[in-house]
Amino acid sequence: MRFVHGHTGIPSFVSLPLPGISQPCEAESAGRATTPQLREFTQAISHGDEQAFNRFYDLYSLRLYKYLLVLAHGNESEAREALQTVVVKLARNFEVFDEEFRLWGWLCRIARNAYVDLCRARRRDQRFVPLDDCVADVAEPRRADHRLSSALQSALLVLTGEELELMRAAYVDERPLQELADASGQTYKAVESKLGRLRRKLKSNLLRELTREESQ
Amino acid sequence: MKSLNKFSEEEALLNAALADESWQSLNSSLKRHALVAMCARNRKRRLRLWAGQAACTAALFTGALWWLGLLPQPAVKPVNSRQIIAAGVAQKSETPLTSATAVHFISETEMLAMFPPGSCVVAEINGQKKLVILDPKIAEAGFTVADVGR
Repeated sequence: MRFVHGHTGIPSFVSLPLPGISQPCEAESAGRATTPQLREFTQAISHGDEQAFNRFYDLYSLRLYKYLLVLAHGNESEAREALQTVVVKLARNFEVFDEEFRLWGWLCRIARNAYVDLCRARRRDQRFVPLDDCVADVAEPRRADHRLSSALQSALLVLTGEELELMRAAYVDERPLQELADASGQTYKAVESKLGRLRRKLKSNLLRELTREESQ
Repeated sequence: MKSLNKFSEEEALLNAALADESWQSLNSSLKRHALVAMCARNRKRRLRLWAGQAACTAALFTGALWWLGLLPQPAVKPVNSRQIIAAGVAQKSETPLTSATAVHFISETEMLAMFPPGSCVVAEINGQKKLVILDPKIAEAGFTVADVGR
């Protein structure tokens, strides 16, 4: 089935929320639900629809990056390099899927292969390094999610109760910064910069946790 | 529901922590890279499609010309000179040839010399030259097949 474009030339699904793929948590809960829109969506990408690819990229780039970050044990530069390879590969060749978990499984496999290739290139001199060991234990997407989750829990322990509350209010409850500033009696700028500091702190703790898991 | 909430909460916090400024710049440059790669792939695909269509059209056109007999017929090249000679002799003498090496053209005088004198003559009958045997017995005695090849 060929995807039909609308009058504006924009595929109709681009503006629609895609159940099961816009929210990873929903995808987890939806399990093996078949999404007809997903087929059209992936088909459009495989036919070279740039807008569909844009949408896909917005939905999946950060998720892929997180997966790669776990594979790379918190090494940001390696994860980013592998992500670049993955994204270019996906732009050149995309398969059609009916189910989100299959799509995500395929993406994870591509990401894993890209990371293994990167490792191989990096460790070309060290012939006897077993490359599979560095990814085998977290290759499965669920395990990677679990590892990321546990790393986050450990990283959150470093934050104080007040800091954690602020993070939750801003990023989980998505309360406006002005409201938070008014509630805490601070200026908008002060809250904004505090959140920036907290984000950086959380990130560095998270990466440290992921790195520590590797050494353990 | 609680685990779902926990999942989305973790997701939100992770996104907040990881999607910083450096990620944003990387993200946009990666997207640009990917779109360039996609454009190149689309271009290649289109080119391949056009090339295929052009080849098909050319093949169809040539086929149609051939079908209509508008194409110049290729000249048939003889295989070797022996075959030409053999074909020529077969047409001229209307006698079956046993061997291509036996072909040898002789003149009228040479032919008459092979028979005993006075046994045959070359006469023109109805505008065509023919060998007339006057005395078959003498002619038979004087003619040897082996001499033809000489």
